[in-house]
Amino acid sequence: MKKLKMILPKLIMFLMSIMFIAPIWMVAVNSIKSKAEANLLGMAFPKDGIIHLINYFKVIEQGGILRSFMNGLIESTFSVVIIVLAASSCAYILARRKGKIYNIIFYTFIMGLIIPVAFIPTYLVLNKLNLVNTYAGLIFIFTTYGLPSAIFLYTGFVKTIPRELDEAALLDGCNCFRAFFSIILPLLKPVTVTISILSFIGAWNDTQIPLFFASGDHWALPLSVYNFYGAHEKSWNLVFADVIIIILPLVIIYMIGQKYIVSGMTAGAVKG
Amino acid sequence: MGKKGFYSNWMMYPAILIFVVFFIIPNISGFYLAFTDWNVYFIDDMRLVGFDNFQKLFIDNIFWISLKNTLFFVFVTVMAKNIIGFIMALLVSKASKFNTYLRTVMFLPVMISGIVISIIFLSIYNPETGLINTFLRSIGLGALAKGWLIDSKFAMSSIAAMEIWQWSGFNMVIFIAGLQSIPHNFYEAASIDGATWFQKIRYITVPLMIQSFTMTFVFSIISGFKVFAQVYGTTNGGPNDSTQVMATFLFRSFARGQYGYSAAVGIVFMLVITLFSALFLVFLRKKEIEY
Repeated sequence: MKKLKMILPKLIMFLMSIMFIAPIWMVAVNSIKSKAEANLLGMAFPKDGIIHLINYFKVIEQGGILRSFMNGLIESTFSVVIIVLAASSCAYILARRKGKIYNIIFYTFIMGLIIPVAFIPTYLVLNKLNLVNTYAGLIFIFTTYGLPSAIFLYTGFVKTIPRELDEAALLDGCNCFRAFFSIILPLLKPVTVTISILSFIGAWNDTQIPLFFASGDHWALPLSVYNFYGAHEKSWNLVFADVIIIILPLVIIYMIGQKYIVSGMTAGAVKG
Repeated sequence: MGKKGFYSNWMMYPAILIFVVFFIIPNISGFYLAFTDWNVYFIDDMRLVGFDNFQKLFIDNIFWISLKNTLFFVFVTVMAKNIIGFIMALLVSKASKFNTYLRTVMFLPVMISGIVISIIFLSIYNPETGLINTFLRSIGLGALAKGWLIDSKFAMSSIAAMEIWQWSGFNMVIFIAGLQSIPHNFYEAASIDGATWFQKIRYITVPLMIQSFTMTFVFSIISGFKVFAQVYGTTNGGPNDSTQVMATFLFRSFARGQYGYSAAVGIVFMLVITLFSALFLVFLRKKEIEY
């Protein structure tokens, strides 16, 4: 009886983990089958014993993978750089200075976490600035919606860094900018890694912003699967190969940065 | 030290400038646009039309369907993601190799874009050869096999199930952090007093984890209201508008070029989200306790 009590939760969890893995497995195994067999959506290895790697070559050839990959890389990387620099320096002042106005600024940023993107007026602003369907336009919007959580995390973190460091820098003749960039910013490294990963994934995975403000030639990988599916609806082998190529970069980021991702997502969830 | 002089406000200006141009100005001008007839055909010629857009919106049957569907989606996913996430957290919170594997696997879907998940689930929900119907038939429950996304009775629930599958792991991770922050001696004291496992959960774990619940609830509520990719990628609002949600409804009117009308939709959408999230935040904050 006692043994059963020990094993039962483990068994339940094991079965549950299969529920999470099965879909991914189904995608992976069907991506290396022939078209006819893949369309049966089975879970077994290819019956003909051949690994149809040709699916992947076909997808790379037809799917515009490289273009979408570069789009995502450009948009996400630039957004991350701007978010990190703008948010950390802003949070430094917000964390250090006291006064009503700083509270108002902080909470205005936090509102960006709740309020959905005002698509139509944002479209008007981009239109007036000639930024519709440009990398710069997308980068600015990704940055805007990445700033709130970054400022939230940075402000909390800066508060844990003693003010004495600022004072020492002042005595050494540093101004605020130098003190921040040569002393404080390096100390923010753990939270910077977290914010970089989360903002990168956020921009990379976003569906609505590219859909509203750009056309297909500026989309990153995840959204390109939608067009690819539309064109190859009857060839699951190719669609799944496309899916695998698309999720692979994220799985790699996840495996490397798991610790940072989790620490960023749980900040504020527990009493610190 | 002269603090006022040292901390330069200039350091805030880049972030503030971006935020003002691309967040504050759009959100404020939205209130103006919603009262105009701006559209794609007369893009440089917008006129004020008073409450016309709102009047048109409130008599639009599909708007009410999309509001109802969104509320249904929010309610079902918030409940399920939190309950399932909490149970998963309880089961895997102890540190062990097996639990690390489980956590990694269960959190993995969070990393994948909603639109990609949609494409995967189009195959899983396939009526003839999809994973779910094949499984049901193989255990003799073929009668339960459905056209999950094609049948208007089940389509909305099927999309909700997909969202629950993807995001329960996220809540689990937050709950694990919450569980680990509870001092161990609370449980020891309860054991000495003869508390059962369930009593410990009810009277120690849950009350001390309200802060985690606040976060997961607010997160799930906000992301539930904003649901888009999951619907756009699977049914795009169909069949017969039975899965239309607020975000797809907004995108539909935008794609038709009715910008003034879409701005009105956006305002209503924003007010609904803000109101609900604020209510929950206030409600749950009151329940938090110090220890």
